[in-house]
Amino acid sequence: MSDVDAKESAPVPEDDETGFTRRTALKALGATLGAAAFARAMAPLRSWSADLSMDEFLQQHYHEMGEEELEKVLRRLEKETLEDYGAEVEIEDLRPQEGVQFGYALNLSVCNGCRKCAEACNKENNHDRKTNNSYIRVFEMEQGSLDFEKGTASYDHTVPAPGKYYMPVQCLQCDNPPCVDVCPVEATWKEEDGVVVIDYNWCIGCRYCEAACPYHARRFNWHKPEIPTSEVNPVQAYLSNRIRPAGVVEKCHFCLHRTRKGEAPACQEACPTGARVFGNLLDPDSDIRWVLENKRVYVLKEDLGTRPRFFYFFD
Amino acid sequence: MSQNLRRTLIVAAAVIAGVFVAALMTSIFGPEPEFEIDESPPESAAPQIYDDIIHAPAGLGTLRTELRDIHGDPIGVACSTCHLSGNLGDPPAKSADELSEFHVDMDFDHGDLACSSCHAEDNRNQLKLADGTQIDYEDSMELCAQCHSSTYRSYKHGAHGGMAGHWDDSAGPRERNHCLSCHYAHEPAFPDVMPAPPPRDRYFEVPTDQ
Repeated sequence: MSDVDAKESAPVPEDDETGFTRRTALKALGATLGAAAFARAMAPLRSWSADLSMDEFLQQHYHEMGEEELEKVLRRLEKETLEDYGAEVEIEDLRPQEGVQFGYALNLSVCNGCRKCAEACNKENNHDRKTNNSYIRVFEMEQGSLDFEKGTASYDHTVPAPGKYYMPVQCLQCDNPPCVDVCPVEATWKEEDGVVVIDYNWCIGCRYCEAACPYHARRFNWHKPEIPTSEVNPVQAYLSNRIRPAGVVEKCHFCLHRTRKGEAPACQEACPTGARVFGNLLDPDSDIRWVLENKRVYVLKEDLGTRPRFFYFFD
Repeated sequence: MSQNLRRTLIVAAAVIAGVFVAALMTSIFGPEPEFEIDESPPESAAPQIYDDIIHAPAGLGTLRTELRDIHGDPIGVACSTCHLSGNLGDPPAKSADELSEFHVDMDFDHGDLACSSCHAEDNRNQLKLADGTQIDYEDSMELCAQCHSSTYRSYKHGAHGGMAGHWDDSAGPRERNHCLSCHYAHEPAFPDVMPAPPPRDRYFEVPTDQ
């Protein structure tokens, strides 16, 4: 009964013989617009699927992976580097050595601000050549002041300039790292030898850690790094200098692909003034221990309680 | 009584026999494990310790000439090429300012030192310590250390002079610089340099001095 009533009270308007109503036209228009909007919204996925394999999407956290799984991941990353950069590289998984705690010290009396350390870092760690990125930022500071507001990292003149001193700042590998505390997905953590590392494949790029670091030691990869094939450093490790994807955070790792094999970090080798001292804090005969025991040593922003592993000293 | 005595004797004999057997066993089997303990560790446990390599500059103890060899490196001549007998340059110059004919292009800016503070006057192929001992040019670090003792102490502990190679001496050698790798003895101040280019990151600051 009610059906009949409704039909009678709202009759379908008939325009002409073709049967093409305004409603049909609006439906068609709506459907077209909807389809276009959907396609536009899904556009990032097309480029995403080209870059990201299903294996990578399903990859586990570094700590969750077994030996075999990790081995597969390393080979896949090597293959991807070959495809993207044309470079044959070897990516290792290097674990902390037993009885080793890394420490670093820098002599502000002799550092002349030549930025050779930053340059070496750029090459060693496969940084983007376009932005000339590096994990080390050398500040030109006013003598007698520790005020970073007055310091500049973009100086470009003969060094050392009168009245200035130079202070390279990189990740201090804090024993109480605020960057690790804030990571919502545990993509960054402190290793047993003291190095704070990042699983670049687990990082979601939220940049909380970058904001939490009081030393501005972390960098965000805005773009996929541009590196000429001939300049790619083929000696790589999963947690250190392998080429990082866009959209993840990265930082200094004390060159662990070198130092965990007993070699000196690249910035230390490059330093022409011998300002840098690196070594094992647990070895009483090491250089770093001698510096800590015999020089006037301090750490940056000690009052924050971050307990850095990177020390500055004067002669 | 006699039974007790016999028992005591038997026990005593047993003890003596026991000691004898034990001594015999020790003499037969004892030394062997000792040998094993002595022999096994040196091969497996003792790690190889690498010595430091010090990069002394080539041509130490020669005077650079303007001539160059096939590799483009300057050819050096020994000091004794001219200073053969001691007749040449006698009396020896006290400072670089007095040199009018030879070594005139040499700049000297190293405190109030005289030539003979470091150069042996009777043998120009040798250097001279403050106590008069003559040393080879290759050992010149000892000469520098006479005045720069605190720097030398820092150097000995890796806090001056830099290093390359290995921090872990069981993994490989540590490579060190010589004093003269960075400091020219006659003008030892480290030269001013142009730095490597600054980063082009979000710190786009305008350099203040331009």
